[in-house]
Amino acid sequence: MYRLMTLLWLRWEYLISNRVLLVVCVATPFVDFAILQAIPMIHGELDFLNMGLSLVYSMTAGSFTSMMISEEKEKKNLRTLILSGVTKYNYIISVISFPFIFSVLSALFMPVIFGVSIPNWLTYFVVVVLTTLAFILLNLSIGLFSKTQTHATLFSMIVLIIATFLPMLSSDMSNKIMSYITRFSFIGANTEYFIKLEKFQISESSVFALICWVVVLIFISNFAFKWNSREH
Amino acid sequence: MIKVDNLSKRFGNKIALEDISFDIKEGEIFGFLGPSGAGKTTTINILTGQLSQDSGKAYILNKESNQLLPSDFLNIGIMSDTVGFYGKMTVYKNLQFFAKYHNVSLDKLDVLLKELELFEDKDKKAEKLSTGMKQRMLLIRSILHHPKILFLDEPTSGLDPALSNKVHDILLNLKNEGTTIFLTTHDMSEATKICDRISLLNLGHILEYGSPQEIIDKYSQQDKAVIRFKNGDSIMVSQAEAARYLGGSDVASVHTLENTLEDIFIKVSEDSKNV
Repeated sequence: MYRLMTLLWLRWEYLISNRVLLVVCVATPFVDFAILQAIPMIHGELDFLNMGLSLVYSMTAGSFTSMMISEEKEKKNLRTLILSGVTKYNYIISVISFPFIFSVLSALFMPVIFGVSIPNWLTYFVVVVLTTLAFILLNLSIGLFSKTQTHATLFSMIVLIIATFLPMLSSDMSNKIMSYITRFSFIGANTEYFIKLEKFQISESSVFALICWVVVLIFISNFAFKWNSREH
Repeated sequence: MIKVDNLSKRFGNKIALEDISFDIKEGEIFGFLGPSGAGKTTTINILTGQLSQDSGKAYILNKESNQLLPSDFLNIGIMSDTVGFYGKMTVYKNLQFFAKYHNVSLDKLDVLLKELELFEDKDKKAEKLSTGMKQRMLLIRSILHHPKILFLDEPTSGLDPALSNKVHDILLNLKNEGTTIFLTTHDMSEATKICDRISLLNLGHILEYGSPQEIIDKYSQQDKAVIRFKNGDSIMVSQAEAARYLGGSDVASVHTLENTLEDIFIKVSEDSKNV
């Protein structure tokens, strides 16, 4: 346990010595959403919260993770940790902890700060936690498989674009295929939550699909860590 | 502690290692000597499980190197160009992490920082350090937890002679405390000074293998002697012939020409190219 705590300590020290990463990934979604909220007809509207959340998932959970990991990999720190006896579970837990905390807190505080009324907080919390985990694990895999930081940034931008535009495209309910794809994507439960609101339930197929995404991504992250212990 | 049997590795058409074998005993300093591109780092990477061999076996800590578990690495220290550091963090924070991770007291860290003259610079960002300082920081990190096996890839390159001597003292102390050290270097005098046994490697082949003195003796037997006369002249003759000059009234000195490891390495490298 103390080894995991030490890795968390390292991650915290890394973050406070890389404040730019913190500011860009944690503050930017808030600032963007605050600017959006300055428009009177948008202020406090639930429909627009989804845009802010997409930024939180993509940047605070996603880019934060992929940039941190790809830098760690490019500068050979990942290999150093592996050669120091760091286990894959300790590594993955230590890496995802801060993006997870910052992302979940951002997603929870955003509606509170900007006066957006959330119909069902428990359901909202479950969706936020699972979607955050999916974004983090997806970007962790991107970071671990990318050769350079540039590659990781480009691939995580693709995730951001999907997260931003898929919900918009699926809002046209006449397009059944797009609606189906969205429902089973990593942003599906979040999108459906904002469509169904009070009627949305934890037992929705989109939530089940999201859990599957998380489980599969945990396996991929494990493999990616192991893959990095050898030269390719 | 370490055993390598008929290890071969190619990168495309380039031979990195060709059928090399050696073993390293517990508490021994083993020098792996050779020029850049000889295959030294490839050997370390295979022994530490970072790279797969094409054929042959490599054993470390009584298991095959590709079977090493994270817990095995707690007993291994590595300083090579495959490891890095957190550039934006200070020297101290970088090392403090490894001290905490291996449950080593921070007092020991301070001692090593002072010993290797990094204590004054411990609050500098690691990315701001000179090459020699980075070398020392990485060396401290690799030995901080008193590993059973220590891999050092050219640990004194970029260090001045005084600091190199300090590093040698530290390594000899570690050896005396039971650490097995695998050291690569192209500094032959360093190898002669601290290694129990060495292996001369070139173009992926082991050219010589044994203690530095054994190798020097082996090549000294073929050497000649220099006779210096009192009038200032000197001649080179075979050692057998030199015996006749001993005690001669006009002879100032007779001495054999001891090859250094460097001379021997150059000779065997040239010979291997001509084969």
